Amino acid sequence: MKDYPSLHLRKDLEKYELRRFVDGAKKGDEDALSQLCVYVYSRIYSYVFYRVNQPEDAEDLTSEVVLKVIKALKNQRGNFHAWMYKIAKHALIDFYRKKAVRRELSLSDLSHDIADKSADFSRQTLTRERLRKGMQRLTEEQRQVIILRFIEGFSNSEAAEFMGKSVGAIKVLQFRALRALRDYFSRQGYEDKN
Amino acid sequence: MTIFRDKVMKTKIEEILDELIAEVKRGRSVDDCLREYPEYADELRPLLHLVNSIAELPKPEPSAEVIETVINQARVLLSEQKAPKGFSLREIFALRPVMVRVAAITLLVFVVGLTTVSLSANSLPGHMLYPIKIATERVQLLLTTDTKGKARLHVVYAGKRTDEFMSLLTPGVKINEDLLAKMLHETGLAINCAELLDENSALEIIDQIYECSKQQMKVLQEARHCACDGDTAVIEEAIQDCLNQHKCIECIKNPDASNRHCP
Repeated sequence: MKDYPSLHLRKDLEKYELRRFVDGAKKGDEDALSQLCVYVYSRIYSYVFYRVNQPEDAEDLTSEVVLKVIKALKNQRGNFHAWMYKIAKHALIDFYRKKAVRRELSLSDLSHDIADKSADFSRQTLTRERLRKGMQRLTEEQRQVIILRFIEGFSNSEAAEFMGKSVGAIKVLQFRALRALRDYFSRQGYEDKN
Repeated sequence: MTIFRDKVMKTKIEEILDELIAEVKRGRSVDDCLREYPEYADELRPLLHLVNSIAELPKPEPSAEVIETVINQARVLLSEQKAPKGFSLREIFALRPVMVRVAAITLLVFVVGLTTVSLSANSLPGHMLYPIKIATERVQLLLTTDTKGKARLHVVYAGKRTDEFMSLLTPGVKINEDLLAKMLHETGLAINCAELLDENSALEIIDQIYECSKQQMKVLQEARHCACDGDTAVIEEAIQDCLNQHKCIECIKNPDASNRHCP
């Protein structure tokens, strides 16, 4: 994010910086609060982006999660990421329940798929929009693994901690998710550019 | 057997995929990695390319305006949390269930304690609450630091023992010797405290001791009439002690009367 360069932290510094922001925000430091908001927003936005239909929904949902995180910050203990993703997961469940998004998606995608074959996928490259559509074919846990492992770049053990699963289970989920995506993209006529 | 082999193979391919993803992330080419596992190359190649493609996708960027709005909302939220709130026990207890338990137990102990102490105030020797009455008196004495206050308390306790002795006095029934000794002992302790006080303070307290001692003498004389044979000697001895205490009181009241003998 160009407007918030401090977001681009090195991985080894990230935990230290994040802890500083969290502690500062808990004490009411406005600068730390802003930094934390930007950090949480960018993380959660990526997390929900591929799981809702519209970017606007992703923004609304992310804003809601950030405010929930800030509101509950004083009671936060332990791993911040695991806690943050848990809040996001519950917010997503509420979102699905309220808007019955999954049903909407399955209906709308039938018409989208026809158009995709002839138009969008003819360019033969993976785009965020295509990935989003592919992700809708995955189970909730498979989606979560793809996002945490390959979009957010977390390790197996980190993803396992956030999802409350074993590392072995993450490996299985990751294999199945990638295979399901590959099958979907093959059916859509997409060939990998590599 | 076939199912078992399939399961082992499946576990293996998941492990291999994970290992190769890590290698690709470190910078090795997909083809180079797959050379180590040619039997899985066809299956894993598209998956590894897909991983690369996903990782290369630009991250979804939220608009700066939306983030600014959220930051402002978060600031308001934080300032609301920081603002001093009215004292709300419910909120405190909701946050700390341990506090509720501690407060409830403290309240229970306080109420039970207060009730027991109140009930024990009128108890007589032999009653189950009498030891609590005595213990309460000991605590009161321990908490009183000045000599004058201690003297006053001993007078009060001497009066209580006298009343208790009087209540238990029944014609033909053996007297409570222990209680009788305590009654006179409390008066003696009051006199000892009075002796330590300066002249003015001593005079103030000595009248109360004298009144108490006079009352004790009356009770003892009454006891002499209704006492059984075995108690006569004990009562006579107690009367003699009481008379000696009277003399001590006289000595404190008139310290210059050198002709008087203070026992």
